[in-house]
Amino acid sequence: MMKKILLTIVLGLFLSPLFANTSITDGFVTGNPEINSINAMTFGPESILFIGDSQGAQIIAIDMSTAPKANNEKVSIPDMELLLSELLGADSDQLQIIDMAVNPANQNIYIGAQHSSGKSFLFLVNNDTLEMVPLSSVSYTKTAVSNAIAAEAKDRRGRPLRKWAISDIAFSDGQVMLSGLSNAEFASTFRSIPFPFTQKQQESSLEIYHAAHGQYETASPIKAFTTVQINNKPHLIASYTCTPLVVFPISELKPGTHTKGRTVAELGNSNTPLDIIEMEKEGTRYILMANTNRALMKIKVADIESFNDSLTTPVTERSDTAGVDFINLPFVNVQQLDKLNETEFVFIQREADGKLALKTSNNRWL
Amino acid sequence: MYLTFVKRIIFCILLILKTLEGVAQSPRFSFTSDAVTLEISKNQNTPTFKVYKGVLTAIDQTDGKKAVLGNLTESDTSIRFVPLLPFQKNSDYTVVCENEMYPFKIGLDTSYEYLHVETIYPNTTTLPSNFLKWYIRFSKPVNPSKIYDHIHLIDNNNTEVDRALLPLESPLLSDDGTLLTLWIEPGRQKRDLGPNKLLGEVLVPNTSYTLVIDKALKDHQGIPMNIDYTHSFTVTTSDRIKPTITSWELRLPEAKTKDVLHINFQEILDYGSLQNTIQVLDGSGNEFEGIFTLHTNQKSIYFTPSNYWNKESYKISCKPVIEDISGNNLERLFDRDITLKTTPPLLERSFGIE
Repeated sequence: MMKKILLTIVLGLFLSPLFANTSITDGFVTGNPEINSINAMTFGPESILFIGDSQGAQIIAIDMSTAPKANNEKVSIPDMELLLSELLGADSDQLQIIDMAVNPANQNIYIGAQHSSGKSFLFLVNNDTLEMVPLSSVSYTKTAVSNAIAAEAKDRRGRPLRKWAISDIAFSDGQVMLSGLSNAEFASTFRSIPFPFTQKQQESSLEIYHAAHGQYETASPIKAFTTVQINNKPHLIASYTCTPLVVFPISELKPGTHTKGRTVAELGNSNTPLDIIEMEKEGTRYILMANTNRALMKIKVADIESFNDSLTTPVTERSDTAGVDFINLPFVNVQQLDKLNETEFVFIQREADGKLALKTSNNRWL
Repeated sequence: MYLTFVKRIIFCILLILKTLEGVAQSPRFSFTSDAVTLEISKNQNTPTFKVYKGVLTAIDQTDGKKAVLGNLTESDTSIRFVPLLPFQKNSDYTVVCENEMYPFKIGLDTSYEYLHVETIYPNTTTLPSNFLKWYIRFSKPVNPSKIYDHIHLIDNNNTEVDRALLPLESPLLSDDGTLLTLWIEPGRQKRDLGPNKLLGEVLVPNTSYTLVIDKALKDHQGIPMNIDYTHSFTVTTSDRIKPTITSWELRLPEAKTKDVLHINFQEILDYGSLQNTIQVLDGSGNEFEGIFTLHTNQKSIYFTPSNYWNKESYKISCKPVIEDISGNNLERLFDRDITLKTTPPLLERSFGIE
């Protein structure tokens, strides 16, 4: 009898997690998620692809776990624009690569592209070409980005006016995080939506200000961001349209708060950040940032950790920069950037011959 | 002589018949912007075909080239290829069917109207040096890809102002693709930010500029505008004063009418920030329903009520995000001096209807 009880307890201990745990894909349905536009993409746990859809004012989570691993032994597409033009039958200036995301579970590289008509397409990089990923029947769930815009705002001819465009998306600690730009106000809105999505959405919305050298503060849209552990606490590293690199403790990002970030670097003038990722080499962590008018930048996370002040002194030289040290890597005109695996990153670069190439590099540059 | 003539006639007839035979054997394709259709007969072996972008003249030109993606459907009488995107107008494509090339091009509709700029907000001939953004209304959806390559700010020396405009990967276009929000480089407009300290504001007082949208800008179908758009203006000093609703001039309607309430802002306010940010409240504080009609470039907004005005007190209620064209809103300046004390914004204003 005692043995039976013990066995029951032991079995119960083993099996209870199986029954108690709910899968992250509970609540997913199979069908067409009706994506209006692909504006930003990121992967979360268990091969869940999150797509930020500005036009549909929604976030779509797609289960990509059943997608076969692509053959990406050597990732190299020398002319992405030509390839997209051939596949979609449109001039390359009618097409645009919007975002790139790597599934950390299998290193599959996904590319979101948009046609001038507004139609979006998802492609998988496979065998150095692009394969379209049909989205008409997928396992998905989605949630509305509430209050994204006053949808009813229309002009006299009934045309919608306000738009909240998703500029970046990331997943961290069970939260889908979104930054966005409004076409009406020059303000920053940052949203944090718990995942799995629930009916009672706990959405954080906050205005983010940054102080420029102490005297003036302005609201400004976040262009790109990532989450990173700083001094063992989760932080948001965000870069604005006007380039200061700002750090926020995630614990301080609460609904309705007026949160002021700590400006840790000015990264040069007339530069717009495009993508930020974190890489590691021999125990040292780095932030890599792609920019419109600057080379790929490398910043040591330890330097951000040790930089306790906010910038207070003006930059004196033209195009000079201030704050934490960063190093320009010899990769210019990098338009898309993501971590491929522990040692490699994948990027899309406008090359000297004008072609837009998909390539990889490794952490020997770190 | 006569026999030779007859022989020639017979030869010509045979030649025509031979040619017709050739035509009869050729696949019969029909082309529209949405599909390529191949007619087939029941006894015919079903041929397969692919569509390529561009003009191809030999099969070896398909080497290393990808066919256009689309769906192929077959019926008893036809095979139909529907591309993922409609075929672009005035562009070359080639059907490759059993090693033969069939080039085609879909022409522009005769009723096609070229893309043009309908209006710009603000459309004033003077702008403050810390001016922030334009809204550009196009006549039809515009191609967002590389749109900033076609928009230039030219100064009065006929020199393009370097990095004057904020390029975004996804331009801020309304969902219907016709309204573009165009930001002046904000880092240069904000006092004390690096770009502002180093390069100064984009717009220099007492200087004239022209905003140019060149005719190479295409619409969503890939057809370029056929004429440049230009908008010239002169720059005045910066505007660092918050808009206030107390300075608005009201032209009041009479009670027992559905006449329009005119609100004159006395200055041009930001077009986008005026969308759905003003309400009229009745004496009980409830929304008094009606329609607002914006006349941004005329500095005013008109409110047409759904019901008759009563002889009572009403309020205009505003959201703090209403801003002027330099980004100063009812609540704060665009770049606020934090050493100065702030005062809470005034967001409501009463008026009585007699």
